[in-house]
Amino acid sequence: MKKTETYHDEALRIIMRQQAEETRKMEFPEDLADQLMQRIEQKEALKRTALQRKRRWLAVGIAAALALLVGVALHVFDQDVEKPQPQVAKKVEIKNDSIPEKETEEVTKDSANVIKEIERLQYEMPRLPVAQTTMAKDSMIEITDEPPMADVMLAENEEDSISHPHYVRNWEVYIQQMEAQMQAHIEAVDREYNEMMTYYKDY
Amino acid sequence: MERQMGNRQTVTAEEDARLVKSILDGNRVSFRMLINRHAATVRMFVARFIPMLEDEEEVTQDVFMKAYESLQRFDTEKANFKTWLLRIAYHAVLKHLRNESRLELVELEGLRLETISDEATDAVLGDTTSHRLTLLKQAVSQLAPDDQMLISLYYYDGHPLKEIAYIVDRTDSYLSSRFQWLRKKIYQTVIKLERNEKD
Repeated sequence: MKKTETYHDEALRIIMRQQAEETRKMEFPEDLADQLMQRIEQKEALKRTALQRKRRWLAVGIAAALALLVGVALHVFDQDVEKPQPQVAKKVEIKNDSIPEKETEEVTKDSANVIKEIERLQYEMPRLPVAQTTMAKDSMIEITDEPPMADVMLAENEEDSISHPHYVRNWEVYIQQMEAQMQAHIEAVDREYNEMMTYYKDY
Repeated sequence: MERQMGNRQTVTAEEDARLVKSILDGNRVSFRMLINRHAATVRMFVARFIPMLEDEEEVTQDVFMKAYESLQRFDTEKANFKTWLLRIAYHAVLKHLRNESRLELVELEGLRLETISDEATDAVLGDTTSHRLTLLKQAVSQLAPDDQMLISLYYYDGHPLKEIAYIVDRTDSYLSSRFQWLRKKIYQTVIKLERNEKD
């Protein structure tokens, strides 16, 4: 643009002034400033409300996200604790080969001997005098006073309680325990029997 | 005289800048003072192109609301506050007229500038006889509203073309070309009207 470019055009200036005069005759309300200040107040109040609403939603969103995160973390953690390492259920097998065969045979033999001895005693016990029977029974009771570790369901007949394996939960344990007990019992009964026989012999 | 006017304008511009700074610091009362200082200017400008009072009030309020919201963008290096406000007003009026479908595109074609001499144009636009003034008034009213605003800003408000370029958000060269075209367009219309009268 030329620096000196100006247009005087007086006629146009007069027309513009005339138009402005006509406009100036219009009555404008005086409270433009009041209306504007009120409008600004309303707008800023709306902005504050919108901002508060936004902050509220943001807080809710954050809380929900945190809750979700904690829930997921707990779920994952619980799964790790509750679920042990998957294990294949091991079939507990009592391997016979874990126990030396000889030992197994001996125990079996001993067990069989104990059973025979018990049966013998059971037959012979009624021939003994009541005192001996009582003594035997007492000793029997004495010996059996301490219940075996194995779980035993006693039969009605006390004498049958030991001879019926199906009453015993853990027969092998019971056998081992009874072996020791019966051995002691047999030795005691033998001693007494021998003493009695010696007594009768003398008579 | 001109120097006094210039000094007064400078003082006004400095006061406006101080008020703007005060508003940006949170002092809303300063905005009320700015409104009171420039309400008449904005109203007069808007009312020239939007004759309906309700619409004029609405647009005027929109201008000041826009100014309040855009205060941070006001740059004293580019223009003073009054010019900046008129820029907002110009675009607000255009937007309103566009919404009202009153703004028509004016084509630059159909006018061969080289056939119209500058002297002839100066002569018609400088003729202050009442008959010519009437014809000039009619010719100006036939211009598009945005062109009428350009004419008003230059011939009534006294803004130099450079400032008008800033107000209408156009380049200086565009505005210069546009103004030349407008003057010749007005001349052409006046001649046509005279020819029609004779016929």
